[in-house]
Amino acid sequence: MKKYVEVEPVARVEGHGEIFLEFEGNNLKNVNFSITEGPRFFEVLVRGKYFRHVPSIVTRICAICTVSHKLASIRAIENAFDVEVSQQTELFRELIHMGSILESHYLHTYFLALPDYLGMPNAISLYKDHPEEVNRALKLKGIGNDIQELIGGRPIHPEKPVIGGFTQFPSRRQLVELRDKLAENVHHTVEAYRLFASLDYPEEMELDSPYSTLVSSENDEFTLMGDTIALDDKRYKLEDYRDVIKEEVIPWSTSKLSRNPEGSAVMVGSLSRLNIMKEFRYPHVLEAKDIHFPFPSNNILHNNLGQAFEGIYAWERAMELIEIILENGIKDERPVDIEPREGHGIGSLEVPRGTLYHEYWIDRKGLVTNANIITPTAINNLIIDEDMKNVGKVLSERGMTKEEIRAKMEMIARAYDPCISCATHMVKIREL
Amino acid sequence: MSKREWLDFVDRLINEDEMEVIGVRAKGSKFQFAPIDSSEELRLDYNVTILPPKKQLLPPHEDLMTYDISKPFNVLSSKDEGKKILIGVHPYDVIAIQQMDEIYLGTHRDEHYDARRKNTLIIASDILNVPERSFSGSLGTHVVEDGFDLLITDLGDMVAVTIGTKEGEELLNTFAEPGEATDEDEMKVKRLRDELPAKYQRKLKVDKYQWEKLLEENYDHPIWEENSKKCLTCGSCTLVCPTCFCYDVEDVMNINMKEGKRVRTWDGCLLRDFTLVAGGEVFREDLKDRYRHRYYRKGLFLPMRNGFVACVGCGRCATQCLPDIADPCDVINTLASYSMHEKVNFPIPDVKQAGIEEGLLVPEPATIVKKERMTELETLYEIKLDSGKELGHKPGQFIELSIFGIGEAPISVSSSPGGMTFELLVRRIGHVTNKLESLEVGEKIGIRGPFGNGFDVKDLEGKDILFVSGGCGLAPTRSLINYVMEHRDDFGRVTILYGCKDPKAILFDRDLRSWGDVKDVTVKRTVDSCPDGECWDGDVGLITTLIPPLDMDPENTIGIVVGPPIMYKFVIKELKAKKIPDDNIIVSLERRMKCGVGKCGHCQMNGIYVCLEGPVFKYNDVKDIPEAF
Amino acid sequence: MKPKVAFFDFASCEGCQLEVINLEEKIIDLIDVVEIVSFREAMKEHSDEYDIAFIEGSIQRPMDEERLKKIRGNAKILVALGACACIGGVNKLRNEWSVDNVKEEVYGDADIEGNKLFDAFPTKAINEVVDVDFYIPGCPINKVEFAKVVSHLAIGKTPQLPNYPVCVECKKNENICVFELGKFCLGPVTRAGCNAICPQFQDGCEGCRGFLEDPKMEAQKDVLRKYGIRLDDMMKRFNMFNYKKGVY
Repeated sequence: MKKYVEVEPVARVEGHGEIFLEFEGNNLKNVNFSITEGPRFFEVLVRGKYFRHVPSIVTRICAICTVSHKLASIRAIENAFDVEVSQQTELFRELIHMGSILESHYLHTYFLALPDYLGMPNAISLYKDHPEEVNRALKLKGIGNDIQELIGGRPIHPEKPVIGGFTQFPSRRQLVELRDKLAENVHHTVEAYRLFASLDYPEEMELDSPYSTLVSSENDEFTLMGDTIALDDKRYKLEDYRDVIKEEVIPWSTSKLSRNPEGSAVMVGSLSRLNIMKEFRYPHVLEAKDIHFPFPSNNILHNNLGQAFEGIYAWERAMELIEIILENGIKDERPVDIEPREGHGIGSLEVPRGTLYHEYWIDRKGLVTNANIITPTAINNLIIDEDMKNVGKVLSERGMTKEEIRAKMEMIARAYDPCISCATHMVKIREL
Repeated sequence: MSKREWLDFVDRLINEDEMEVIGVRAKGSKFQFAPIDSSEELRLDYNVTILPPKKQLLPPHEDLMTYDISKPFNVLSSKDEGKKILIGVHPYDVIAIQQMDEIYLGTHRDEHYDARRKNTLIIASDILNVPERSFSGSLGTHVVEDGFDLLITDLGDMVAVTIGTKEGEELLNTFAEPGEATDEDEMKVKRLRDELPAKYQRKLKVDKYQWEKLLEENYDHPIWEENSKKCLTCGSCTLVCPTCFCYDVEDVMNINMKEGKRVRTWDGCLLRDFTLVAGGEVFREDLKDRYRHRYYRKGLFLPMRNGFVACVGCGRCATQCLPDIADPCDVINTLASYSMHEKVNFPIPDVKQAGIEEGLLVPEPATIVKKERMTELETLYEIKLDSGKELGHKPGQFIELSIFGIGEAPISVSSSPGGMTFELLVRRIGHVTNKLESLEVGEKIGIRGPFGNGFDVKDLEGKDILFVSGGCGLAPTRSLINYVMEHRDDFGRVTILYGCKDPKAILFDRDLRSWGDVKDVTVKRTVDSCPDGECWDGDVGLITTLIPPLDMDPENTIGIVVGPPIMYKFVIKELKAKKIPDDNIIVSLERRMKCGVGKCGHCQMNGIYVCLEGPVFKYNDVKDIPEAF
Repeated sequence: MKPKVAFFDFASCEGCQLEVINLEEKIIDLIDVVEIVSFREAMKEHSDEYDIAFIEGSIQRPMDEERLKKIRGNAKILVALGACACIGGVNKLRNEWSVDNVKEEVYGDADIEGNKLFDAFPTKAINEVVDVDFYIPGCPINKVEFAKVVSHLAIGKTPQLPNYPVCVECKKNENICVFELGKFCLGPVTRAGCNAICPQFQDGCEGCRGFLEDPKMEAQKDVLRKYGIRLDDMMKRFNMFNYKKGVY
């Protein structure tokens, strides 16, 4: 019997990915999710570079996660030198992080994922039928960008956050304006959630894997600035991250693949976060929880719903952060001075797509000798692949056509929100 | 008044909704003029601001007009009408503003600048801390007697106020209750001012009246070459200067491709593209020439034109120049120590400008009434002003042609004066001229002008005239030839020499032939080369070869030479060989004419503005100008 | 007829396309003026019929090269988008090492021999592979400049980049010169157009828009020496976006 292979570039994701569907007749024999983006070797690029320049280089790994890479690398390098930054710096870092979560989530949920649910090819056709929803999305995403621009200097590759602090802080007047804009539009986040809560999430999209996220070591409250690794009910220290994930090279993809040392795939992202952290306190978040809240859930499509939920959280958290900053008063602080010395540090952060790890080894002159960067998509790479294989099998047994299967496969890929340009910069873990 | 009363006065001004208060405030370790929210932010103890207060009157970016290209001709001048008060302007900056006023309001009033200036009150302040690189003490610009509305002197617990204008007095009396100054107060102010010059670390070795002479004698001084080697060509020295006023203009479209605006931005003569014309020629390509030009402009050309040294000694250029080669104090002192004593003259012809005085920036609507393709690159357009008025030009003048969304280009008028329409010969060579080609008869364009001096026809009467035109040079010349043909009896023998690249590039061939039919008119056409198979009945060879065989009365012949830059040197040599006196040679020169009224600075050729004193020159007036040929 | 526009990406962070999406509501204006026929980051459909192709990213593999040549063949106008496409950007940093060396470091001893996905050669800017009509430099591009180039192309005006250094924009913005803050800046030799964004935030220019046509490198080095910057540090910074082996 003739083999039929389909190779299809996945559209509406960041970066280049392809899904290989292997059919025998109408029976699906195999599925591989593959990342085909040109390899960029970031681990090597930062070798021999002075530590101060590293955040500016690694931020270029990915534009949608630009703040994430900047903050994770800054934290890792600060960790290597045992640098303590001011509370003001911590607050502004979390604030810009909320901006990046908002931009990424609203870009992804509305423009990349929503057309699938509504059976439309793209956001431009979405605009023709639902201009009010597209305008809402542009507004939500735009304000996420406004936060990043005000705190970071620009939405993509922000320049103001540096090792030790910020080169410049916004003025009180600017922050008040931002706070008012957030307060005026907070209801849009709930309306957006209402839309995503009304969508149909077919049950066959169930996955089976452990969930991982960073949680607070102090309480069970939902946070995007956690300091402890959670793998389902278990807790690990940051420096033990290799007990949770381990990387390997796979021949059909330029992105490396990470799995649990015990062999299973691990899922990170909004779904993991909402499955593990369960306490909330902001009014609009609680209002949304009453609308519909299927978590914990094993349905991968709920990752999109989770992103819409986290949008409300990030919005209200940003408002709260600004209030705290205004109450404290803005001090004209300079970044902490650092004298280079030999060191090793890890920086980690819950970023839009899951947990991001940066790790650096630095010599006594302050030059980077080795680096390790593990992105959420690299972690999810295996579960996407496994998920597709499992669901594909189920769908094929149900007698779905090739076209139907392909559509479902793409939907799975997009539900994970794979940030493929990140994933290709994967580096090998060195066992030390 | 007491310090407290002064601060209250400032706070009352700030609370007044009608006006914006711009004061000196800290920016990191430096200072700037910026809106202030409270009198506490005001820093009268500042040394110098990064940018001068000029930015409030001539902003770095300024909308001149907005337009909508989806409509036939929809242009609105955008003028800033907001009232402003500048607080803390130092004397040297007050003097710099007076100079700006002279430039922008003295002749060819600039309405945008004027609107801002009229709405701005200046509260000057005596200098408390001398800027490190300043040498205003040597120029006498450390104190000022007029040019402000109020002048304050911070005496510690007291603030003394000198009233400069009625408006200033009114402001003071409305928002404060000042007491009368005692003799002792006045003594304190006088002492503060008198003691200032001694506080300057930097001093000029010569006074400002010596600058002109020093520069005239040192055009080839080695300092220009040496310093320009270290120059980054970053333009900082001109951009931070309180007296620099050159600008560029650009059209910016919204992405919806309907509305757009014409924006004026600061430009500077150190930047390479400053003298770039559409054809690709850069008239001051050598960095040494650009570097030197700045000093000559400030210390020689503007003093010649306006009577003042265009430097107030604030030291901003010196502070901002990373290689530290921009300090006029250093350069002038060096010239004073090692003068070359090789005098070069930079005469500026005295020309009565025939151009417009008002409405300088916004073009008039006009319509293309006829379009005739002449060669592969050139098209002749017949244009009519929508106002129904005549253009009112003289032969040899030019206009600025606007296509909104694209920009403006200077074009010579090719038709003789008079008539309800005029003709433009346009070579497709830049943005505007390329776009023009796509416009149809009936479509709208914008016209400003006419600009420039044009040919003085009265001076030519009774003389034999020899026209030497190369390529596009025939366009402005044709305007004069047509005039001469229309008034044939007023002139002697006429000889017209025309040369172009090849038979296909010939312009106005019909005109050339018909002129040749007129009594006592000789027309000779030549091409540089004639490719095989081309039909050609004229000469072959460079235009210079047409001159030696001519039979002429050199003393009574006026040679009118217009062509590409390369042509002048060779043609003039031939004319001299025919014993035509220099006084009888007239040229028309091309530079980057942009504003048309001697402000934007692009067309300057040493001290001469080609758009004002030119483009038509007596050869005698410009033959010694280093940048002319 | 609206010009048909397509976006393509090679090795990059896709920040330049994201910056286009960041035009927000102006995107709606944009699709009134041009017809977007391919934009993988935002839409599924794709067509090979386009007038203007915007290319993001640099070229790393023979398969990239083939794809780019095909795009060049289809497009009337080809525009390089961002540092990676215009000058190679940070991707070129890896040209300091041999390809085999880099692969071994990253992928270890995994069996990738003969797999074309991994078949990398030294990074190239796109003009090292095909002719480029216009450049929109920067890392990322500036959406205002992008809009300007599109509007120029739509109205029939040749887009032109500023031919002066970043210092000009710094001065117009009244920034404190970062040299005075004791930092390193490539502004004097770098092409303006970014509105001096890094110096505006008190950070030195990293040269992401590429050097001027005629950069005064010797004068720049004199200045750097004057401010006490060591030669090897200087070279590292020159190379961050403008890597050229042993040139500076």
